[in-house]
Amino acid sequence: MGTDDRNKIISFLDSLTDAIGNSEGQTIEEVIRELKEEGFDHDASMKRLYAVVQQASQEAKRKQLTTAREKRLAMEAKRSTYASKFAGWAKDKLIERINELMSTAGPSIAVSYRDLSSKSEADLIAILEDLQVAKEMEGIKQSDEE
Amino acid sequence: MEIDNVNSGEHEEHNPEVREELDNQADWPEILPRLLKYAAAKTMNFRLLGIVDLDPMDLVSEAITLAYSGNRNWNKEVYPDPIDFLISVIGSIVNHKIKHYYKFKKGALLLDDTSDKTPELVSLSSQNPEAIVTEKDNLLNLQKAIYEAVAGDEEAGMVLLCIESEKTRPREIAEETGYEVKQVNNILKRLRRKILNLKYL
Repeated sequence: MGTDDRNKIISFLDSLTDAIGNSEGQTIEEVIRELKEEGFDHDASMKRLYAVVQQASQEAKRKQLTTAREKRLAMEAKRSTYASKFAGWAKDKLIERINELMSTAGPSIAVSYRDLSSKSEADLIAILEDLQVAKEMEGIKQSDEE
Repeated sequence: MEIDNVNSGEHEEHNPEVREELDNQADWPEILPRLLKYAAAKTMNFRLLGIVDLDPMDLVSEAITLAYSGNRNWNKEVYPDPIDFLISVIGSIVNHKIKHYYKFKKGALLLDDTSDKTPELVSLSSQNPEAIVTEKDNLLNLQKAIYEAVAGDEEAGMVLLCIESEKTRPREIAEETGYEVKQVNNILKRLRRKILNLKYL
């Protein structure tokens, strides 16, 4: 028997069991009654499956938090790189870069810094670091959403 | 449904939104019994094909865990509701296991009968021409037995014809046959009982 023939029969069985397992048009009470007729202990089954849902949800949440933490730590590591990078910049260049980032910033970085020229270089570097990190975080968020 | 690998093209980057959507949208008291009914039917595949039996509860649990892991792409256009998505995951797991089983049998061709591999695995090998004929006969006999099981039941025969043309939803079958959806569900229930005791091996 060729693979095609075998697959045809397997595909037929797949459709057959798809149809038999479909509960479209049935009320939930009818489905539960059928399950009981098949020998399932409804209460015990549901209790066990709810526990699976709970556990899977918690596990996914933990994974989500771990991923977020890893991203945050990666950003923190980058922040220190920025600090050394911006330390040698002149005040004008710092202000120019801040304005550049502000003009392309998304809603989460929509903070207005006025009178930048009155700030010290240390303050400007701190602002620039924040903006740079926020911009990168926004980029990660966007790529996560895509 | 195509027999595909559970990993092929469906495992994409971890998507945290799947968890949030399942937590917020899934109506579990409504979904879980339907998933269990579907899984119970899908495990008949294994029994009919003579493949290792699988517990429907384990199948549903595996699907829920896999869905929540966020590694499976949830295409909302194809599967708008959580139940459709979860059912697709169950179907995919079943297909993967069947495909894996046949792949393994193929792989068994490489096994040496004198090796110390599990004798059971070696005996599954299709290397033996006799085994190939047996497989063919068994599968054809199984299909024949399914049709014989509904012999004399005109309604079940009609429904089986719809299924053969891949119409598997009760509403589709109702449209095709002119039966009421409720009637189709009763016929499917009857069909299930008729084939429940059939076996491949």
